[in-house]
Amino acid sequence: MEHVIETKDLTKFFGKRNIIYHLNLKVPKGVVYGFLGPNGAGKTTTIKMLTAALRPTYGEIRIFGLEMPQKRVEIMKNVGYMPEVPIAYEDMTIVEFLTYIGRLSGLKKEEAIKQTKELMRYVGVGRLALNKIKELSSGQKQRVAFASALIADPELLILDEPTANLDPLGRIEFIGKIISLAKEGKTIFVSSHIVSEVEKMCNYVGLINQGRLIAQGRVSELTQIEETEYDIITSDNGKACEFLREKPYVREIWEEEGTIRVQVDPRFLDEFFLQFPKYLTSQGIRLKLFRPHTSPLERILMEKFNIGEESD
Amino acid sequence: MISVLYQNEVYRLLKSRRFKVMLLLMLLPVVIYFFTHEEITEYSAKALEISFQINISQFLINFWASVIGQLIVIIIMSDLLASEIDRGTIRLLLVKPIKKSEIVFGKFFSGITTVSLIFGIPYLVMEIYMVLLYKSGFEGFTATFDDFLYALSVTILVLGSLGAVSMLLSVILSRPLYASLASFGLVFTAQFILPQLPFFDNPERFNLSYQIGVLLKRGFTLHTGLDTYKGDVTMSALFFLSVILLSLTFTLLGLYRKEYEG
Repeated sequence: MEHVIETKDLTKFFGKRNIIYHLNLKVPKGVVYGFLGPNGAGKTTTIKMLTAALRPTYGEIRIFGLEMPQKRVEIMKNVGYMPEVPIAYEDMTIVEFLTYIGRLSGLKKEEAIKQTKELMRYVGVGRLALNKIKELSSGQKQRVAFASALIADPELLILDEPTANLDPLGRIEFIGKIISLAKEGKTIFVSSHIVSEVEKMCNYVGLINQGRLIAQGRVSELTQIEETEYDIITSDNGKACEFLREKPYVREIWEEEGTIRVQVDPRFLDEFFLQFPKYLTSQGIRLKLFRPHTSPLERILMEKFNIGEESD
Repeated sequence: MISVLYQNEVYRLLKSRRFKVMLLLMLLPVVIYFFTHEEITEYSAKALEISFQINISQFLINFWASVIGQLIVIIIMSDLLASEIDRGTIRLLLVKPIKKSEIVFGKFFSGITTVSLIFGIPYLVMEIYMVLLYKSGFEGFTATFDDFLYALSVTILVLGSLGAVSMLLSVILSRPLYASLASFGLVFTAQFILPQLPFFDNPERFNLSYQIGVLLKRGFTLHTGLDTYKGDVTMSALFFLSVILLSLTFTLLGLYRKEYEG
Protein backbone atom coordinates (compact mmCIF):
# COMPACT_ATOMS: atom_id res chain seq x y z
CA MET A 1 0.00 0.00 0.00
CA GLU A 2 1.26 3.46 -0.90
CA HIS A 3 1.73 5.67 2.13
CA VAL A 4 1.61 9.43 1.85
CA ILE A 5 2.96 9.91 5.37
CA GLU A 6 5.19 7.35 6.99
CA THR A 7 7.18 7.76 10.18
CA LYS A 8 9.65 5.29 11.57
CA ASP A 9 10.49 5.32 15.29
CA LEU A 10 9.72 9.03 15.41
CA THR A 11 10.82 10.24 18.82
CA LYS A 12 10.93 13.69 20.35
CA PHE A 13 12.51 14.83 23.57
CA PHE A 14 12.20 18.31 25.04
CA GLY A 15 15.20 18.35 27.35
CA LYS A 16 14.78 15.15 29.31
CA ARG A 17 11.03 14.97 28.73
CA ASN A 18 9.99 12.35 26.22
CA ILE A 19 7.03 13.77 24.29
CA ILE A 20 6.79 11.36 21.37
CA TYR A 21 7.93 7.80 21.69
CA HIS A 22 8.77 5.56 18.68
CA LEU A 23 5.85 6.67 16.58
CA ASN A 24 5.26 4.60 13.46
CA LEU A 25 2.53 6.36 11.52
CA LYS A 26 1.32 5.01 8.20
CA VAL A 27 -1.13 7.19 6.32
CA PRO A 28 -2.32 5.58 3.09
CA LYS A 29 -3.09 7.64 0.01
CA GLY A 30 -6.61 8.99 -0.34
CA VAL A 31 -7.80 8.42 3.24
CA VAL A 32 -9.04 10.80 5.88
CA TYR A 33 -6.78 9.88 8.77
CA GLY A 34 -8.02 10.89 12.20
CA PHE A 35 -5.17 11.41 14.63
CA LEU A 36 -7.08 10.98 17.85
CA GLY A 37 -5.91 11.41 21.39
CA PRO A 38 -6.55 13.36 24.59
CA ASN A 39 -5.12 16.83 25.18
CA GLY A 40 -1.37 16.66 25.68
CA ALA A 41 -1.06 13.28 23.96
CA GLY A 42 1.50 14.63 21.49
CA LYS A 43 -0.70 15.30 18.45
CA THR A 44 0.47 18.88 17.84
CA THR A 45 4.13 17.98 18.48
CA THR A 46 3.85 15.21 15.88
CA ILE A 47 2.25 17.60 13.39
CA LYS A 48 4.97 20.18 14.03
CA MET A 49 7.55 17.53 13.18
CA LEU A 50 5.62 16.61 10.05
CA THR A 51 5.66 20.26 9.00
CA ALA A 52 9.34 20.86 9.88
CA ALA A 53 8.65 23.29 12.70
CA LEU A 54 10.32 20.84 15.10
CA ARG A 55 13.17 18.45 14.45
CA PRO A 56 12.78 14.83 15.57
CA THR A 57 15.23 13.76 18.28
CA TYR A 58 15.51 10.61 16.24
CA GLY A 59 13.47 8.62 13.79
CA GLU A 60 12.44 9.21 10.20
CA ILE A 61 9.63 11.07 8.49
CA ARG A 62 8.75 10.37 4.88
CA ILE A 63 6.07 12.34 3.06
CA PHE A 64 5.30 11.31 -0.54
CA GLY A 65 8.30 8.99 -0.09
CA LEU A 66 10.63 11.97 0.43
CA GLU A 67 12.56 12.53 3.60
CA MET A 68 11.50 15.38 5.86
CA PRO A 69 13.02 17.89 6.64
CA GLN A 70 15.78 17.30 4.05
CA LYS A 71 13.32 17.54 1.13
CA ARG A 72 11.00 20.08 2.76
CA VAL A 73 10.77 22.39 -0.25
CA GLU A 74 9.74 19.59 -2.66
CA ILE A 75 7.31 18.10 -0.14
CA MET A 76 5.62 21.37 0.68
CA LYS A 77 4.64 21.97 -2.95
CA ASN A 78 1.85 19.47 -2.31
CA VAL A 79 1.00 20.04 1.34
CA GLY A 80 -1.61 22.33 2.86
CA TYR A 81 -1.32 22.96 6.59
CA MET A 82 -3.72 24.45 9.07
CA PRO A 83 -2.36 24.98 12.60
CA GLU A 84 -4.30 24.52 15.82
CA VAL A 85 -4.25 28.25 16.56
CA PRO A 86 -4.70 30.19 13.31
CA ILE A 87 -1.49 32.00 12.37
CA ALA A 88 -1.68 34.92 9.98
CA TYR A 89 -0.24 38.34 9.29
CA GLU A 90 -2.68 40.30 11.41
CA ASP A 91 -2.23 43.61 9.56
CA MET A 92 -3.12 42.12 6.18
CA THR A 93 -6.63 41.95 4.77
CA ILE A 94 -8.00 38.49 3.98
CA VAL A 95 -7.46 39.09 0.24
CA GLU A 96 -3.87 40.26 0.76
CA PHE A 97 -3.10 37.36 3.06
CA LEU A 98 -4.53 34.61 0.87
CA THR A 99 -2.99 36.05 -2.29
CA TYR A 100 0.39 36.26 -0.57
CA ILE A 101 0.14 32.68 0.71
CA GLY A 102 -0.94 31.57 -2.77
CA ARG A 103 2.07 33.22 -4.34
CA LEU A 104 4.40 31.71 -1.73
CA SER A 105 2.88 28.34 -2.65
CA GLY A 106 4.11 28.86 -6.19
CA LEU A 107 1.00 30.25 -7.88
CA LYS A 108 1.23 33.07 -10.41
CA LYS A 109 -0.33 36.37 -9.36
CA GLU A 110 -3.47 35.91 -11.49
CA GLU A 111 -3.90 32.32 -10.32
CA ALA A 112 -3.43 33.33 -6.69
CA ILE A 113 -6.08 36.07 -7.01
CA LYS A 114 -8.52 33.68 -8.71
CA GLN A 115 -7.99 31.00 -6.07
CA THR A 116 -8.35 33.58 -3.29
CA LYS A 117 -11.74 34.71 -4.62
CA GLU A 118 -13.01 31.14 -4.96
CA LEU A 119 -11.74 30.02 -1.56
CA MET A 120 -13.13 33.04 0.27
CA ARG A 121 -16.56 32.06 -1.02
CA TYR A 122 -15.91 28.38 -0.29
CA VAL A 123 -15.03 28.94 3.39
CA GLY A 124 -17.65 31.66 3.86
CA VAL A 125 -15.58 34.80 4.38
CA GLY A 126 -16.30 36.42 1.02
CA ARG A 127 -18.09 39.44 2.49
CA LEU A 128 -15.13 40.08 4.83
CA ALA A 129 -12.58 40.12 2.01
CA LEU A 130 -11.26 43.60 2.81
CA ASN A 131 -11.27 43.18 6.58
CA LYS A 132 -7.92 42.94 8.31
CA ILE A 133 -7.18 39.56 9.89
CA LYS A 134 -6.90 41.19 13.32
CA GLU A 135 -10.52 42.35 13.05
CA LEU A 136 -11.86 38.79 12.61
CA SER A 137 -13.29 36.48 15.24
CA SER A 138 -11.38 33.31 16.06
CA GLY A 139 -13.87 31.24 14.05
CA GLN A 140 -13.43 33.49 11.02
CA LYS A 141 -9.64 33.28 11.40
CA GLN A 142 -9.99 29.50 11.41
CA ARG A 143 -11.89 29.68 8.12
CA VAL A 144 -9.17 31.88 6.62
CA ALA A 145 -6.53 29.42 7.83
CA PHE A 146 -8.47 26.61 6.16
CA ALA A 147 -8.58 28.59 2.91
CA SER A 148 -4.82 29.21 3.14
CA ALA A 149 -4.25 25.46 3.50
CA LEU A 150 -6.28 24.83 0.35
CA ILE A 151 -4.90 27.65 -1.77
CA ALA A 152 -2.47 25.61 -3.90
CA ASP A 153 -4.88 22.68 -4.24
CA PRO A 154 -2.53 20.34 -2.33
CA GLU A 155 -2.61 16.54 -2.45
CA LEU A 156 -2.11 16.28 1.31
CA LEU A 157 -3.86 18.36 3.95
CA ILE A 158 -2.53 18.41 7.50
CA LEU A 159 -5.11 19.90 9.84
CA ASP A 160 -4.42 20.36 13.53
CA GLU A 161 -7.65 20.51 15.58
CA PRO A 162 -9.41 22.26 12.69
CA THR A 163 -12.77 22.74 14.37
CA ALA A 164 -11.40 24.05 17.67
CA ASN A 165 -12.70 27.61 17.23
CA LEU A 166 -15.80 26.90 15.14
CA ASP A 167 -19.39 27.13 16.35
CA PRO A 168 -21.62 24.02 16.06
CA LEU A 169 -22.93 25.02 12.63
CA GLY A 170 -19.44 25.80 11.44
CA ARG A 171 -18.30 22.37 12.61
CA ILE A 172 -21.03 20.61 10.65
CA GLU A 173 -20.18 22.68 7.57
CA PHE A 174 -16.47 21.95 8.01
CA ILE A 175 -17.00 18.19 8.34
CA GLY A 176 -19.03 18.30 5.12
CA LYS A 177 -16.16 20.07 3.36
CA ILE A 178 -13.63 17.50 4.58
CA ILE A 179 -15.81 14.68 3.30
CA SER A 180 -16.18 16.33 -0.11
CA LEU A 181 -12.40 16.99 -0.30
CA ALA A 182 -11.79 13.33 0.50
CA LYS A 183 -14.08 12.39 -2.38
CA GLU A 184 -11.81 14.43 -4.68
CA GLY A 185 -9.03 12.01 -3.73
CA LYS A 186 -7.07 14.18 -1.31
CA THR A 187 -5.29 12.62 1.64
CA ILE A 188 -6.31 14.38 4.82
CA PHE A 189 -4.48 14.04 8.12
CA VAL A 190 -6.61 15.59 10.83
CA SER A 191 -5.88 15.69 14.53
CA SER A 192 -8.69 15.91 17.03
CA HIS A 193 -9.72 14.96 20.52
CA ILE A 194 -13.42 14.92 19.62
CA VAL A 195 -14.43 11.33 18.90
CA SER A 196 -17.77 12.11 17.24
CA GLU A 197 -16.07 14.40 14.70
CA VAL A 198 -13.44 11.83 13.84
CA GLU A 199 -16.18 9.21 13.39
CA LYS A 200 -18.00 11.43 10.94
CA MET A 201 -14.96 12.51 8.93
CA CYS A 202 -12.40 9.74 9.00
CA ASN A 203 -12.11 6.31 7.51
CA TYR A 204 -8.69 5.72 9.01
CA VAL A 205 -7.61 6.41 12.55
CA GLY A 206 -4.50 6.53 14.69
CA LEU A 207 -4.87 6.61 18.45
CA ILE A 208 -2.17 8.38 20.41
CA ASN A 209 -1.78 8.63 24.15
CA GLN A 210 1.17 9.93 26.15
CA GLY A 211 3.27 10.10 22.98
CA ARG A 212 2.69 6.48 22.02
CA LEU A 213 0.66 5.22 19.09
CA ILE A 214 -1.82 2.82 20.67
CA ALA A 215 -3.52 1.62 17.51
CA GLN A 216 -4.01 2.56 13.89
CA GLY A 217 -5.96 1.19 11.00
CA ARG A 218 -9.29 1.42 9.20
CA VAL A 219 -12.07 2.58 11.50
CA SER A 220 -14.22 -0.32 10.31
CA GLU A 221 -11.52 -2.84 11.26
CA LEU A 222 -10.67 -1.30 14.61
CA THR A 223 -14.25 -1.06 15.77
CA GLN A 224 -15.21 -4.70 15.25
CA ILE A 225 -15.82 -5.21 18.94
CA GLU A 226 -19.19 -6.32 20.16
CA GLU A 227 -21.14 -3.78 22.11
CA THR A 228 -22.73 -4.88 25.38
CA GLU A 229 -24.54 -1.73 26.51
CA TYR A 230 -27.54 -0.45 24.59
CA ASP A 231 -30.02 2.42 24.68
CA ILE A 232 -33.59 1.34 23.91
CA ILE A 233 -36.85 3.26 23.51
CA THR A 234 -40.09 1.36 22.95
CA SER A 235 -43.75 2.28 22.85
CA ASP A 236 -44.09 0.56 26.27
CA ASN A 237 -40.87 0.89 28.22
CA GLY A 238 -42.47 -0.52 31.40
CA LYS A 239 -43.27 -3.90 29.86
CA ALA A 240 -39.95 -4.08 28.03
CA CYS A 241 -38.07 -3.41 31.28
CA GLU A 242 -40.11 -6.07 33.09
CA PHE A 243 -39.18 -8.62 30.44
CA LEU A 244 -35.48 -7.76 30.47
CA ARG A 245 -35.20 -7.74 34.28
CA GLU A 246 -36.23 -11.39 34.36
CA LYS A 247 -33.47 -12.46 31.97
CA PRO A 248 -30.28 -13.83 33.58
CA TYR A 249 -28.08 -12.46 30.81
CA VAL A 250 -29.06 -8.90 31.62
CA ARG A 251 -26.42 -7.62 33.99
CA GLU A 252 -27.89 -4.21 34.67
CA ILE A 253 -30.95 -2.33 33.54
CA TRP A 254 -32.28 1.12 34.36
CA GLU A 255 -34.50 3.73 32.81
CA GLU A 256 -33.37 7.29 32.36
CA GLU A 257 -35.48 10.06 30.81
CA GLY A 258 -37.59 7.63 28.80
CA THR A 259 -34.62 5.57 27.59
CA ILE A 260 -33.89 2.07 28.82
CA ARG A 261 -30.22 1.35 29.23
CA VAL A 262 -29.35 -2.30 29.37
CA GLN A 263 -26.05 -4.04 29.91
CA VAL A 264 -25.89 -7.57 28.53
CA ASP A 265 -23.51 -10.40 29.41
CA PRO A 266 -21.36 -10.65 26.24
CA ARG A 267 -21.57 -14.47 26.30
CA PHE A 268 -25.34 -14.32 25.76
CA LEU A 269 -25.65 -11.60 23.17
CA ASP A 270 -27.14 -14.01 20.63
CA GLU A 271 -29.96 -14.95 23.02
CA PHE A 272 -30.66 -11.32 23.76
CA PHE A 273 -30.90 -10.44 20.08
CA LEU A 274 -33.22 -13.38 19.42
CA GLN A 275 -35.51 -13.14 22.41
CA PHE A 276 -36.00 -9.42 22.88
CA PRO A 277 -37.35 -8.53 19.42
CA LYS A 278 -39.54 -11.64 19.49
CA TYR A 279 -41.04 -10.55 22.82
CA LEU A 280 -41.71 -7.05 21.58
CA THR A 281 -43.47 -8.36 18.47
CA SER A 282 -45.57 -10.78 20.49
CA GLN A 283 -46.71 -7.97 22.80
CA GLY A 284 -47.36 -5.51 19.97
CA ILE A 285 -44.70 -3.12 21.33
CA ARG A 286 -43.04 -0.90 18.77
CA LEU A 287 -39.25 -0.43 18.90
CA LYS A 288 -38.51 3.27 18.48
CA LEU A 289 -34.78 3.32 19.11
CA PHE A 290 -32.09 0.73 19.52
CA ARG A 291 -28.42 1.73 19.51
CA PRO A 292 -25.15 0.98 21.26
CA HIS A 293 -24.73 3.23 24.29
CA THR A 294 -21.22 4.31 23.28
CA SER A 295 -19.95 4.70 19.74
CA PRO A 296 -17.56 1.97 18.57
CA LEU A 297 -14.66 4.41 18.41
CA GLU A 298 -15.37 5.67 21.91
CA ARG A 299 -15.29 2.10 23.16
CA ILE A 300 -11.98 1.51 21.45
CA LEU A 301 -10.60 4.63 23.07
CA MET A 302 -11.87 3.65 26.51
CA GLU A 303 -10.42 0.21 26.10
CA LYS A 304 -7.08 1.25 24.67
CA PHE A 305 -6.56 4.17 27.01
CA ASN A 306 -7.72 2.11 30.02
CA ILE A 307 -10.12 4.86 30.99
CA GLY A 308 -12.41 2.58 32.99
CA GLU A 309 -9.51 1.00 34.86
CA GLU A 310 -7.94 4.35 35.72
CA SER A 311 -11.18 5.67 37.16
CA ASP A 312 -11.52 2.50 39.26
CA MET B 1 9.83 32.75 -4.48
CA ILE B 2 12.37 35.14 -2.96
CA SER B 3 10.87 37.96 -5.04
CA VAL B 4 7.38 37.33 -3.57
CA LEU B 5 8.75 37.46 -0.05
CA TYR B 6 10.88 40.52 -0.86
CA GLN B 7 8.04 42.47 -2.48
CA ASN B 8 5.64 41.71 0.36
CA GLU B 9 8.18 42.68 3.01
CA VAL B 10 9.14 45.95 1.29
CA TYR B 11 5.45 46.82 0.86
CA ARG B 12 4.77 46.07 4.53
CA LEU B 13 7.74 48.15 5.69
CA LEU B 14 6.94 51.12 3.45
CA LYS B 15 3.33 51.12 4.61
CA SER B 16 4.31 51.19 8.26
CA ARG B 17 4.12 54.33 10.38
CA ARG B 18 7.61 53.55 11.60
CA PHE B 19 9.04 54.09 8.11
CA LYS B 20 7.42 57.52 7.77
CA VAL B 21 8.66 58.67 11.18
CA MET B 22 12.19 57.45 10.45
CA LEU B 23 12.22 59.14 7.06
CA LEU B 24 11.10 62.43 8.60
CA LEU B 25 13.84 62.13 11.20
CA MET B 26 16.46 61.52 8.53
CA LEU B 27 15.24 64.59 6.60
CA LEU B 28 16.14 66.76 9.58
CA PRO B 29 19.71 67.58 8.37
CA VAL B 30 18.26 68.79 5.06
CA VAL B 31 15.94 71.14 6.95
CA ILE B 32 18.87 72.32 9.07
CA TYR B 33 20.93 72.93 5.95
CA PHE B 34 18.02 74.79 4.39
CA PHE B 35 18.06 77.34 7.23
CA THR B 36 21.78 77.45 8.04
CA HIS B 37 23.75 77.13 4.83
CA GLU B 38 26.42 79.71 4.04
CA GLU B 39 25.96 82.33 1.43
CA ILE B 40 26.75 81.07 -2.07
CA THR B 41 29.56 83.03 -3.70
CA GLU B 42 30.43 80.84 -6.66
CA TYR B 43 27.74 79.41 -8.90
CA SER B 44 29.25 76.44 -10.78
CA ALA B 45 28.99 72.66 -10.99
CA LYS B 46 32.48 72.31 -9.52
CA ALA B 47 31.67 74.53 -6.52
CA LEU B 48 28.45 72.57 -6.06
CA GLU B 49 30.29 69.25 -6.06
CA ILE B 50 32.83 70.42 -3.46
CA SER B 51 30.10 71.81 -1.26
CA PHE B 52 27.96 68.67 -1.72
CA GLN B 53 30.83 66.38 -0.70
CA ILE B 54 31.60 68.50 2.38
CA ASN B 55 28.01 68.77 3.52
CA ILE B 56 27.02 65.17 2.85
CA SER B 57 30.10 63.79 4.61
CA GLN B 58 29.57 66.09 7.61
CA PHE B 59 25.92 65.15 8.02
CA LEU B 60 26.65 61.49 7.33
CA ILE B 61 29.42 61.21 9.91
CA ASN B 62 27.76 63.34 12.57
CA PHE B 63 24.07 62.54 12.15
CA TRP B 64 22.94 60.01 9.55
CA ALA B 65 25.41 57.26 10.46
CA SER B 66 25.71 58.23 14.11
CA VAL B 67 23.70 56.78 16.99
CA ILE B 68 20.32 57.79 15.50
CA GLY B 69 21.03 56.21 12.12
CA GLN B 70 22.39 53.09 13.74
CA LEU B 71 19.35 52.81 15.96
CA ILE B 72 17.05 53.09 12.93
CA VAL B 73 18.86 50.29 11.13
CA ILE B 74 18.83 48.10 14.24
CA ILE B 75 15.08 48.60 14.74
CA ILE B 76 14.26 47.79 11.12
CA MET B 77 16.57 44.82 10.68
CA SER B 78 16.03 43.10 14.02
CA ASP B 79 12.28 43.09 13.42
CA LEU B 80 12.41 41.26 10.08
CA LEU B 81 12.91 37.70 11.28
CA ALA B 82 12.25 38.07 15.00
CA SER B 83 8.68 39.28 14.43
CA GLU B 84 8.01 36.20 12.25
CA ILE B 85 9.41 33.92 14.96
CA ASP B 86 7.72 35.81 17.78
CA ARG B 87 4.26 35.77 16.12
CA GLY B 88 4.69 32.22 14.86
CA THR B 89 4.19 33.27 11.23
CA ILE B 90 7.58 31.71 10.41
CA ARG B 91 5.66 28.42 10.42
CA LEU B 92 3.55 29.72 7.54
CA LEU B 93 6.76 30.17 5.57
CA LEU B 94 8.16 26.78 6.54
CA VAL B 95 5.11 24.96 5.18
CA LYS B 96 5.56 26.66 1.82
CA PRO B 97 8.02 25.58 -0.89
CA ILE B 98 10.47 28.31 -0.01
CA LYS B 99 14.09 27.72 0.98
CA LYS B 100 15.35 28.99 4.31
CA SER B 101 18.13 30.83 2.45
CA GLU B 102 15.43 32.62 0.41
CA ILE B 103 13.75 33.64 3.67
CA VAL B 104 17.00 35.08 5.07
CA PHE B 105 18.11 36.84 1.88
CA GLY B 106 14.60 38.00 0.97
CA LYS B 107 14.23 39.57 4.39
CA PHE B 108 17.72 41.06 4.38
CA PHE B 109 17.33 42.70 0.99
CA SER B 110 13.91 44.05 1.84
CA GLY B 111 15.38 45.60 4.99
CA ILE B 112 18.29 47.03 3.00
CA THR B 113 15.86 48.47 0.43
CA THR B 114 13.96 50.21 3.20
CA VAL B 115 17.17 51.50 4.78
CA SER B 116 18.30 52.72 1.34
CA LEU B 117 15.08 54.71 0.99
CA ILE B 118 15.26 56.13 4.52
CA PHE B 119 18.79 57.37 3.87
CA GLY B 120 18.69 57.80 0.09
CA ILE B 121 15.66 60.12 -0.02
CA PRO B 122 17.27 62.74 2.28
CA TYR B 123 20.56 62.53 0.33
CA LEU B 124 18.65 63.04 -2.92
CA VAL B 125 16.56 65.90 -1.51
CA MET B 126 19.78 67.49 -0.30
CA GLU B 127 21.35 67.06 -3.74
CA ILE B 128 18.38 68.54 -5.58
CA TYR B 129 18.17 71.44 -3.14
CA MET B 130 21.87 72.21 -3.54
CA VAL B 131 21.62 72.00 -7.36
CA LEU B 132 18.87 74.63 -7.16
CA LEU B 133 20.86 76.67 -4.69
CA TYR B 134 23.96 76.67 -6.89
CA LYS B 135 21.82 77.25 -9.99
CA SER B 136 23.87 74.57 -11.78
CA GLY B 137 20.94 72.76 -13.45
CA PHE B 138 21.27 69.35 -15.08
CA GLU B 139 25.06 69.66 -15.28
CA GLY B 140 25.28 70.10 -11.53
CA PHE B 141 22.88 67.24 -10.93
CA THR B 142 24.93 64.79 -13.03
CA ALA B 143 28.17 66.02 -11.44
CA THR B 144 26.91 65.26 -7.94
CA PHE B 145 24.84 62.17 -8.76
CA ASP B 146 27.83 59.79 -8.54
CA ASP B 147 28.71 61.38 -5.17
CA PHE B 148 25.14 60.74 -4.06
CA LEU B 149 25.42 57.08 -5.17
CA TYR B 150 28.79 56.70 -3.49
CA ALA B 151 27.55 58.14 -0.20
CA LEU B 152 24.54 55.84 -0.34
CA SER B 153 26.70 52.78 -1.09
CA VAL B 154 28.98 53.55 1.84
CA THR B 155 25.96 54.00 4.10
CA ILE B 156 24.47 50.68 2.98
CA LEU B 157 27.77 48.86 3.38
CA VAL B 158 28.45 50.10 6.91
CA LEU B 159 24.90 50.16 8.24
CA GLY B 160 24.06 46.97 6.31
CA SER B 161 26.71 45.14 8.31
CA LEU B 162 25.10 46.42 11.49
CA GLY B 163 21.73 45.29 10.13
CA ALA B 164 23.07 41.81 9.34
CA VAL B 165 24.38 41.49 12.90
CA SER B 166 20.94 42.59 14.19
CA MET B 167 19.29 39.91 12.06
CA LEU B 168 21.61 37.28 13.49
CA LEU B 169 20.82 38.36 17.05
CA SER B 170 17.11 38.42 16.23
CA VAL B 171 17.21 34.75 15.20
CA ILE B 172 19.05 33.86 18.39
CA LEU B 173 16.78 35.88 20.69
CA SER B 174 13.48 35.48 18.76
CA ARG B 175 11.98 38.73 20.08
CA PRO B 176 12.30 42.03 18.16
CA LEU B 177 12.73 44.13 21.31
CA TYR B 178 15.37 41.87 22.86
CA ALA B 179 17.20 41.69 19.53
CA SER B 180 17.17 45.52 19.20
CA LEU B 181 18.46 45.95 22.74
CA ALA B 182 21.15 43.31 22.26
CA SER B 183 22.27 44.86 18.96
CA PHE B 184 22.41 48.29 20.48
CA GLY B 185 24.29 46.91 23.49
CA LEU B 186 26.79 45.24 21.17
CA VAL B 187 27.26 48.39 19.08
CA PHE B 188 27.64 50.52 22.20
CA THR B 189 30.19 48.13 23.70
CA ALA B 190 32.16 47.81 20.47
CA GLN B 191 32.20 51.54 19.73
CA PHE B 192 32.44 53.14 23.13
CA ILE B 193 33.46 50.67 25.83
CA LEU B 194 36.10 48.47 24.17
CA PRO B 195 38.12 51.42 22.81
CA GLN B 196 38.46 52.65 26.41
CA LEU B 197 40.69 49.68 27.20
CA PRO B 198 44.39 50.74 27.29
CA PHE B 199 45.72 48.29 24.68
CA PHE B 200 43.66 49.67 21.79
CA ASP B 201 45.52 52.17 19.61
CA ASN B 202 43.53 54.89 17.88
CA PRO B 203 40.25 53.90 19.56
CA GLU B 204 38.29 56.25 17.29
CA ARG B 205 38.68 53.73 14.44
CA PHE B 206 36.18 51.45 16.20
CA ASN B 207 33.50 54.02 15.59
CA LEU B 208 31.22 53.34 12.62
CA SER B 209 31.03 57.06 11.85
CA TYR B 210 34.82 57.16 11.68
CA GLN B 211 34.84 54.22 9.26
CA ILE B 212 32.29 56.08 7.13
CA GLY B 213 34.87 58.87 6.94
CA VAL B 214 37.55 56.38 5.89
CA LEU B 215 35.34 54.92 3.15
CA LEU B 216 34.14 58.32 1.89
CA LYS B 217 37.74 59.42 1.46
CA ARG B 218 38.15 57.37 -1.76
CA GLY B 219 35.10 58.75 -3.56
CA PHE B 220 34.98 62.27 -2.13
CA THR B 221 38.35 63.42 -3.48
CA LEU B 222 37.38 67.09 -3.54
CA HIS B 223 36.83 67.14 0.23
CA THR B 224 40.39 67.30 1.60
CA GLY B 225 39.11 67.33 5.18
CA LEU B 226 38.52 63.61 4.93
CA ASP B 227 42.29 62.99 4.93
CA THR B 228 42.19 63.14 8.72
CA TYR B 229 40.42 59.76 8.69
CA LYS B 230 43.32 57.33 8.72
CA GLY B 231 42.73 53.83 7.45
CA ASP B 232 42.80 51.54 4.45
CA VAL B 233 39.62 51.93 2.41
CA THR B 234 39.85 48.43 0.87
CA MET B 235 40.41 46.77 4.25
CA SER B 236 37.49 48.65 5.78
CA ALA B 237 35.20 47.72 2.86
CA LEU B 238 36.29 44.07 3.06
CA PHE B 239 35.71 44.04 6.80
CA PHE B 240 32.13 45.29 6.49
CA LEU B 241 31.42 42.97 3.59
CA SER B 242 32.75 40.03 5.60
CA VAL B 243 30.58 40.99 8.57
CA ILE B 244 27.52 40.98 6.29
CA LEU B 245 28.33 37.61 4.73
CA LEU B 246 29.29 35.94 8.00
CA SER B 247 26.25 37.30 9.83
CA LEU B 248 23.90 36.13 7.08
CA THR B 249 25.54 32.70 7.02
CA PHE B 250 25.14 32.32 10.79
CA THR B 251 21.58 33.66 10.57
CA LEU B 252 20.84 30.91 8.06
CA LEU B 253 22.46 28.32 10.29
CA GLY B 254 20.42 29.65 13.22
CA LEU B 255 17.25 29.27 11.18
CA TYR B 256 18.20 25.67 10.34
CA ARG B 257 18.92 24.85 13.98
CA LYS B 258 15.94 26.61 15.45
CA GLU B 259 12.74 24.87 16.51
CA TYR B 260 9.38 26.59 16.56
CA GLU B 261 7.37 25.37 19.51
CA GLY B 262 4.98 28.30 19.81
